[in-house]
Amino acid sequence: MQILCNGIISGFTIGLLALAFNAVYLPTRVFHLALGGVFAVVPFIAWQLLLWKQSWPAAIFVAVAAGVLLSLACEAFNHARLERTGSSSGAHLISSLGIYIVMVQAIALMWGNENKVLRAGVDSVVKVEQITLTHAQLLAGVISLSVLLAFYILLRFTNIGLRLRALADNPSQLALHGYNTRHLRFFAFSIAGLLASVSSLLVAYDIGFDPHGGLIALLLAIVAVIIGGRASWLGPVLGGIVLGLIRSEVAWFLSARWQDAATYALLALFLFVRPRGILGRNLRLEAQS
Amino acid sequence: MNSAQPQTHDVAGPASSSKAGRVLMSVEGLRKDFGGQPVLDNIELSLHEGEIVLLQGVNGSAKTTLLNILTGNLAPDAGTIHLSVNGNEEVFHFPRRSWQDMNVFDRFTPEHFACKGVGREWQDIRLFSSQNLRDNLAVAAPRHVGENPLAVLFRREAVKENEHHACSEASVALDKLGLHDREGSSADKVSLGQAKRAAIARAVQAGARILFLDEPLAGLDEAGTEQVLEMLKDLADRQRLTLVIVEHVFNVSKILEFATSAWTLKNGSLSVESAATVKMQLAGLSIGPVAEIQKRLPPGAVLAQKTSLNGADLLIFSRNKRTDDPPLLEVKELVVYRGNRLVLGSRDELGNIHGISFALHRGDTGLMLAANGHGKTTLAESLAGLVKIASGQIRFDGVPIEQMPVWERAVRGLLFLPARNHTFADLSVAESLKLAGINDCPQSLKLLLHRRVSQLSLGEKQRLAFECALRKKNYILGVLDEPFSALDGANVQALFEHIQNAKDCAFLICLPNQIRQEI
Amino acid sequence: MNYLLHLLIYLSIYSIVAMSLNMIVGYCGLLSLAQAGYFAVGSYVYALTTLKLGFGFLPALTLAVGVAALLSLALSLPAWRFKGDSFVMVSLAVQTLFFSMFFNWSNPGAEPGTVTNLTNGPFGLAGIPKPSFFQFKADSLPSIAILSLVLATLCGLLCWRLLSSPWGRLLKSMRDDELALRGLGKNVRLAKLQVFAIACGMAAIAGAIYASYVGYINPSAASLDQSILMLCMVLVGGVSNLKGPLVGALVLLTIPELLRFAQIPDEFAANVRLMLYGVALVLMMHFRPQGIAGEYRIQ
Repeated sequence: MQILCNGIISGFTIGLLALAFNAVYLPTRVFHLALGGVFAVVPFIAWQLLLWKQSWPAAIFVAVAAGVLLSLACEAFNHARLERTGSSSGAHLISSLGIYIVMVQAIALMWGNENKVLRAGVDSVVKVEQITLTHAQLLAGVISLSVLLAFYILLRFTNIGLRLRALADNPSQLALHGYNTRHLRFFAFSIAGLLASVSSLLVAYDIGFDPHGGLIALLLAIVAVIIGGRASWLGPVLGGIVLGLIRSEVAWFLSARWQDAATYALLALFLFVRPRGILGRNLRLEAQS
Repeated sequence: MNSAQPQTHDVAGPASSSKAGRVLMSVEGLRKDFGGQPVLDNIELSLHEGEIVLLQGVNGSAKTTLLNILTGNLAPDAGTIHLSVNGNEEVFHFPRRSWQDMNVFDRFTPEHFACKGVGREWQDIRLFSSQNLRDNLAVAAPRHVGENPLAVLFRREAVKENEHHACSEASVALDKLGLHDREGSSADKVSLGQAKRAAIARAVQAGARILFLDEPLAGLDEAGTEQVLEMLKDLADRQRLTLVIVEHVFNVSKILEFATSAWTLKNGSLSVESAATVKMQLAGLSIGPVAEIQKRLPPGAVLAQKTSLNGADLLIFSRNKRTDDPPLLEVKELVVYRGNRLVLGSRDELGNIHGISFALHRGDTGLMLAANGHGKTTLAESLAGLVKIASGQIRFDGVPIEQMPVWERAVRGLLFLPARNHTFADLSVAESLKLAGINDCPQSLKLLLHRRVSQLSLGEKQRLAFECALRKKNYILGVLDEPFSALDGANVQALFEHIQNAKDCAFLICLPNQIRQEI
Repeated sequence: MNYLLHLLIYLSIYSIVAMSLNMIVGYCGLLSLAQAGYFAVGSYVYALTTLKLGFGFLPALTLAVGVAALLSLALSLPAWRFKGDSFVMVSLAVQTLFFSMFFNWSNPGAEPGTVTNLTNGPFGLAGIPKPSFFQFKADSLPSIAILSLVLATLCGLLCWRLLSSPWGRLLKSMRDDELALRGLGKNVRLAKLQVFAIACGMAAIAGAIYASYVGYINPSAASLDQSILMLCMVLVGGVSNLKGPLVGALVLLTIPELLRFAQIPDEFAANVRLMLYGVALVLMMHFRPQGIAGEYRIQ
């Protein structure tokens, strides 16, 4: 039962990042690898602000805002221009990788390469029935669940959520209806930045952070997207939970080293047997040729 | 749309029976669904050696889907395919068991079919763009020793010999097509007709005994059409190839001159008839939809202008007296390319490119009539902003819009209804209407309000797209691409009522085919 | 003089890597981030066979190539089904798996090179002997330089012969339009197996030379940073022809040397170098997607 809880909570944070990734991929088909850079830099900004004796809410706010702006800047200065000149999706991916590299090296130059933590000392624990949760875990569980819920409410019930879904579905038809798709893309990148920042801070608060953890976390999130179904909005979170559970079980019964092996075995299984993921749909005919 | 209508098999006339040989390919009970709707339902056919088959049907009748299935590119949902081009019979049963999808040695693949002699041409030519024509044909040579890297390293003589053989065969084939001096030019530098013939020659080099051709005459001028037809007839007569030609209504008569039988796809069912029968049907056909449409145009609409736009006709019907008010839409010297191919515009003998020009005033209805491949969709998409133009001017209500993004043109009142892919599959009908800014639900869609669009039938989707487009307020120019293809009578009527009532608007309707005639 | 020879050896090593990755990126049209993994496989196999089994240079090299070619199935099989961005993700997963394997297949208590401690984890394998053929040992700098140059030239000749052969034409056609090629009856799956086997084998050769020159190998040779550097070389230099990889290797190896001249402090040099690679990637995509000397733009 304990393992289950650990798994689900870590699954939520993976799912949050996975949803961030898909929030850009679905409407724009861009592989936003620079999101790994956002994931890496946000805790450093919070840490720096705390070092300057700012309050926690201020530090969190500025860090998250920075994450949103950085993600937005990727679209504004990079992807929008490539889109206008009709570049291939490979060009988008590689330029995103280039931005990721620049961000990570900038972090290393400013703050060094070592691991840091956002909170000092041993964390307090909370006992619920037979389950022991650390304060950080509880925070992670509650906040990620609320953010996810808020996002899905936005997606399902608001006008802008409707437009985002329509953009993911048929961008040219949406433009023909008179909606500014350029602005909607900005919105998608901003949301991704927001979700990634929250995920990053929750993980950083729990186990610490370093400049190089971004792409590793993002890779895990992308595996979650593939498992859950990359053509769906719910899929990434479902994939995240599944991945979180399996990793948690493996870490308990075997060892932490085998977590990665289990992750990739799962990825290989899905790619071979059901490439569209749990919630995915069959791609349209044209896409298959 | 219900299942199997009785198959109509005509008694083959004397002309065709002399050509019919053994059965090369046959199919029973074939079914394919898309989005829950059967586009092919209980299809049965057999292909005899030496036959020349015309596969016809309106746009969207799944001809290409059938072609994809018969060439191993797409798995049907049910049915059996028998393939025995070189004597040994192979049978493929569908639906496939789940393990077969994961089988790496699965035989239902395009390359396996091609090895067995099934060749295929696509609508877009698909020559290898980074290579010249001779290489395009040489690479098709089957069982080339030089395609094994170990052989390249250790069996140099054999590879050289094979390569010499492949290249000389390629040269000979190109020579026969009159392309001897274009051997070394890359595939995207030759004309459309030459490219099409080179692509056909390539499939023949690969050893095709059956050739499936998807609209081989699309986009060709008189000369090009002649050359391609000449080549096909030669392949059928001298090399005893079996041909299955998908063609559009506009070109059907040309194919029927030498076809032996005709397969007609309609509403998911296939009927097989002899060519003679279909020819007779065609002759008795009324002059065609132009006159039909003309009858339904707003009263008082007279033909104000008829222009020819390299292979297409633009008929403009005006109902207002031409005062001096400025045109609503003015197109000047518009030139558009699709990839490397010039689609809108023409090249004269000196190599200069001339764009197309026309103007629509308020109250006008323009009909653009063209066969597939002549740019009607390209024109419509260029006006909407979905396709970049190479040069030229477009003025909408006095304002130049060439640089404007799609949504800005829409907000200014330019409405574009595409021919397909015009709905949001994942949204519900209610949400689609909300996005289109339509607050009161039209009667025809009231029952479907909460259904997902992906679950609607083709006709229901077309109706939804219609309502989402034409019920918009504030549009002044409506550009409609093939609006009639999936509609029934009542909706066609509704469309014309819209046009009649919108006196201050202009419409440009692109239609797929017409049998040309003097109006 | 010694410094120049050192640069020459590195240039040879990375030219081989760039040529190998060029086959995948330029001729299959697939972006791979796993090439460093195969480079490291070559290094580790060479190291283990010479250290533990006393193999000479050629037998060790052959085994390294063989193992890498076999492991190339981890990329070529997914390449049957995945293209574009999906394939990049698969290659990233393979890359991480390799790194994880080199990093974790260790047991502090056991001898390096045994079954329980094959790679000695983060400590790596040291004391790798210099190349030896029969009686001749290449342990001076000039002799290693000549050896690496010879191997680089051989690899270049191999690439040139293969890529200008009918097989190379098959690959170019596959890159242009895979479905059309399948429609002509060509076995595209076999071609992909062949390309990846050859490319990964070549990367292993480079890895073996590296291991024998430096004498020490650890998992950082299989890191993502290395894969990105290799991809950079191919993208900056230009894909698809043979000049491209050479230009790319040259350019990307010159950057650290230029940094040295600019006297950037050593502790920052590595970061600045990587940052420049990142900037190079972004600028290339915007202004010259076909690379400096290439003929083909990535899809």
